[in-house]
Amino acid sequence: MKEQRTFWYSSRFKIIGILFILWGIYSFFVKYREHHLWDINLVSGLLCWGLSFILFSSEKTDDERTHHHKFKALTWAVPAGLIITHLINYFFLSPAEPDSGKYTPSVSAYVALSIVLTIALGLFYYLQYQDRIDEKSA
Amino acid sequence: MKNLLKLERARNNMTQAELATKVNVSRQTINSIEIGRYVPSTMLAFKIAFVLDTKVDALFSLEEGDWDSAN
Repeated sequence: MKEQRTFWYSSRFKIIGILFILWGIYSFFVKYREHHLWDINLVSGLLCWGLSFILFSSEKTDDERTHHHKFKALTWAVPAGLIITHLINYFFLSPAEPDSGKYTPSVSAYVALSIVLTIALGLFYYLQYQDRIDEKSA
Repeated sequence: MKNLLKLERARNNMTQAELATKVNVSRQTINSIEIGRYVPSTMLAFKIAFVLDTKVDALFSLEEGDWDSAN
């Protein structure tokens, strides 16, 4: 019985992910300096790529417990990200009334996905950290 | 789920790290199983039982509450 590989990218892809994030931050500041524009979509687009590479690449010691942590992190991050996206839309983008004849404004998919992936990644490393704490106390 | 992993590991004179290497998981995973924080997959349970020269149902057993919960 052969075990299937869960994550497509090797752990080296984490470096590529970090480079994407740094590229996003750098581009954001360059655009702000040259054009005085807060281009959130630019930074969040590259942030999505970077965070995806980091979260979905295999860990140095990659086993089923790690996969379980990633799945658990995602099951919390997706609804939490959805709630945050809704709150941003509601409080900062002044949603149109259902019968107003206007489109309902929303943050971009890149921003929403960045929120979800950031929460998932943070939660994943927190769960890994909890395991290490448990190991020390055992 | 109850388990006798720590006992069986000690009987085999094996550290968590040694067992982890043999079944190809991290030491944290073995520790999580021992303290009951994580229930291993069927595949991993069989591998552990094989390495410790015992049977899966001798290592792991259901508790009363396991029938009520989904995980």
